Amino acid sequence: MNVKALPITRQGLIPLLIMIQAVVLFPLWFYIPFWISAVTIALLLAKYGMYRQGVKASRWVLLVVVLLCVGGVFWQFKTLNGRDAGIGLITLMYAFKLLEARSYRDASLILFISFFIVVTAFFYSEAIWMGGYLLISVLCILLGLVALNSPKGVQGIGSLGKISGVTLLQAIPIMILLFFFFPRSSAPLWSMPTENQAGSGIDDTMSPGSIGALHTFDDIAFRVDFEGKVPPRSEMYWRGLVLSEFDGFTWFKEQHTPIRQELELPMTPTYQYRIQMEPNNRNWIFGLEDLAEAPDGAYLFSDFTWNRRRQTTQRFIYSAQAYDIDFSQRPLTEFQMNRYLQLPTDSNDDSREWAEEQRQNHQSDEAFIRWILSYIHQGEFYYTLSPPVIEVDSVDGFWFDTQQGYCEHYAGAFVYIMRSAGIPARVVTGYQGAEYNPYGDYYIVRQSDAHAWTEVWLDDEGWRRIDPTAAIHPSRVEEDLRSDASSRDGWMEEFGSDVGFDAPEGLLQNLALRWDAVQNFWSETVMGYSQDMQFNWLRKLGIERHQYRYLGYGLLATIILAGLIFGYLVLRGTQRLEPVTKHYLLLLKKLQQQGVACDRGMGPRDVLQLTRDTSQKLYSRAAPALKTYITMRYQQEKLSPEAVKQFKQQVSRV
Amino acid sequence: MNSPILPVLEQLNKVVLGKSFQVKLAVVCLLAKGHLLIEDLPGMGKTTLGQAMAKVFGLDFQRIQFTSDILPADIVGANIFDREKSTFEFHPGPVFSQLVLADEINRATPKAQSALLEAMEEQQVTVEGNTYELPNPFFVIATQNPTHQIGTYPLPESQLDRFLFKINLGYPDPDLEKVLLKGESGRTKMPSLESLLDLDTLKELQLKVSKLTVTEHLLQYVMDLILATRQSPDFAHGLSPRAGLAIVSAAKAWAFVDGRDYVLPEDIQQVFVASARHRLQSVKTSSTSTIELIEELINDTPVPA
Repeated sequence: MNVKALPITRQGLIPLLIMIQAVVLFPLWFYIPFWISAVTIALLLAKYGMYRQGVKASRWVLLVVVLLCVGGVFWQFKTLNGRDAGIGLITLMYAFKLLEARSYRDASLILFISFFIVVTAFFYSEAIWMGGYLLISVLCILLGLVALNSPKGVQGIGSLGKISGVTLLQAIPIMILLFFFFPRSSAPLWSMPTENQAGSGIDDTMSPGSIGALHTFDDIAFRVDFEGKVPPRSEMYWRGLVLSEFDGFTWFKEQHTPIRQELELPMTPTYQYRIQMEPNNRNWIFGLEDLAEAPDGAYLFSDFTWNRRRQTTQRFIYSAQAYDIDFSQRPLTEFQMNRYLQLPTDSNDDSREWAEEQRQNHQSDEAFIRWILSYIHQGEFYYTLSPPVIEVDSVDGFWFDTQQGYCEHYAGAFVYIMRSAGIPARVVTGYQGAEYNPYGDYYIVRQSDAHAWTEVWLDDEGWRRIDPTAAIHPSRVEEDLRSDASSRDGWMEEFGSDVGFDAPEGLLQNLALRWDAVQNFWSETVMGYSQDMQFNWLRKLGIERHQYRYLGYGLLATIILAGLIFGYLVLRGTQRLEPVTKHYLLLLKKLQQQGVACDRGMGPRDVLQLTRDTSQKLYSRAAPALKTYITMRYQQEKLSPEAVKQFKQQVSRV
Repeated sequence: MNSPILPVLEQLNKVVLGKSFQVKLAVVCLLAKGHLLIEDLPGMGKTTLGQAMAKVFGLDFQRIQFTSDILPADIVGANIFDREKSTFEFHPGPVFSQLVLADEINRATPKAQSALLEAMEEQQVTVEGNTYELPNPFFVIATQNPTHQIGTYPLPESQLDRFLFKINLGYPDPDLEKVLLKGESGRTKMPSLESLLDLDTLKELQLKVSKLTVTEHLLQYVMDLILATRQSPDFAHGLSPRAGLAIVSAAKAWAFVDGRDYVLPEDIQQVFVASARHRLQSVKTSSTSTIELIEELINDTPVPA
């Protein structure tokens, strides 16, 4: 049977096509503008109605509606380029194509475009459920292809599904092969336009309440994989930003410059780790203290933080090494000294005077720091997420009056007091701690782990991390913050937590961790299978980076070779045919091209009949050839060379 | 070439309304020296067709009504003691007739069925050691009820193979049925039928049919079809060589009826379903019938170019 000649209105094909379009468009409906979703749904319904009523869409009406829709897309996005406008346009055109679909060619075009549109959903979400849904969509499209190419149309969804399912299974080895070996480009295949979304997570300013506000967010900031040794949770300080400018209320990021040359400080490597960072729409990325060499695509700045040139709008995976850096070899310059001592003169006078006074009572900076920490430990300082609001002079108000606050209050006040006492100090923000996922053997750092701590400069030691919140007496830590606080760096052993808190290990939490492990595998190993990962993987197989391109050549050569072999087989098959057969097949092909729905299952007289029914003109040209053929094949046993020659001429006239 | 059979078909179609394809197949069957099996519900015109054919072809006609208590002797005849001569004399049964209509053959027990079927195969009857030749031509039209009806003994496959064709008549077209109800056709017209051929002409035609041109190419097509039935997963087993012979001779007769002296692939396609459907067994449990599967097979098998 020649299915290309059959009408596509046979046996449920149109409803199936409508269903396939609905399945393919479904995930997009949540992301594209509402009116485009509505128009595509309306078009699908209209197609169904027209199919039931047996009406055809008028070309003129269709043209007008198409132009209106294109205008609408332009009006909405002010362009027809780019991701959103492009997808809006293609989904509309996709739905219109079905409306005007009349032939086999239209229907197969729709199905093949479906494969493309399915992928566009990945522009919006790369989550694992999207992957699963798209797999189902692909199965549906295959089902449509099988039905379109079956003479009976949609008869027996079971058998159609079986064919398409088996096809999909057969494609899996090829898919896996291509996944691992197909050369990856270093940049994404399509560049994602930057979305002007608000950043999430740690900000580059800190004022009372700003980090506390993150405590309620359970969103994942990043996941960490340690290679080899794992630091204790109390030492997991994920450095993000250094804030050293203070205006009396808010701390700001300092102006800093990238370190371009090699660090000449003595450092000892400690932990090797890999971070899979969720998009935060910011330039800064996080690393385990102390930070040194920046990962690929980022720079190390003079305050020992990392920045990327581009904002992190997609999941970003990087590997890094943590170090212990000995800063004592390189004293602060005068400029730096001034910067880390600068304070606004017009506010928080009480604190400054108090700090200057207290410093007189202590012999060394270190002794003074110890005293301040014990002052926090023994004084009525509370660690709480809901401190009283202080409107002016935030340090004075906190240190002397309320004495209640979250990490940013303590860090800010501590740095202020240090600077007042002449000790260079700065605020560091980032995350502290991590949750271990035993099912995936990695750590999860959430937005609720956001933290602020400080660094002070000691002349013979360099920068030293001091976390003033760790000094608060456990009995004065708010209930739901205890587990956080107890895992903090105990710089002074005597302040170490004497109360142990363990989070309840419930079933729900186990499930959540398992699910996160699956998601992590999906996003890191499947979606995040980058050129780097491919290189590493290929190196294990013995293919080095510089040999990489041979993989591409090999793949190309295989495709060309397969094509040549296939072509040779096809050609050889036709060359072997005897001349009458060859010309009869040619004749059939010519007739098919001129609209006669004949096929190999038909006898020559039926072909003749069909030709007459199709076109009288064509019949008059084709009849002699067909009649000669019948005579040669079915009336005489012997073929005369003259008859063959005549037949050839007759065929050539068709 | 104008076929001498056309007037015959014309006459028959006057009696059996709206069934020209089945009537043509019945005539083809007779010309190809085969036997015909008609499967249908009672009252569809099976007997009418048989009677009309006998009349038109000038054959003598006997009808055997098969019942569950019919005995082989009731069909082939028996030796009966003649008191005057004091000898056993053979009294031929109804099977000794040129056209036998075996009505509701699947109501009889297998023993009675095989008596008829043996007669069909051997063209002769043996009773108590004496062999009696059956008339020539000998043509059997057997009818059977659909096998799912109560009180039927389905014919075994080996015996179905003896029939050249199996056809259904089916309900007539509503318009034509109205004509029939008016009493303007069917048996009422039977007396007006005239015999168009005599016995010798029929034998001559049968001989002519067997001598029609069949080319290598056409035989290749028949082979392709037969091999396709053997390779198809839809059927329990493929067609036998006897079936192949039957198809070729039926196709010849069809071509002859169409007024040609050579056979075309289209002739094969026309007779293929009727000659293959009772010889093939669908293994599919789905609703697709054997006929549909065979039609699909014909569509999918390319005609040798």
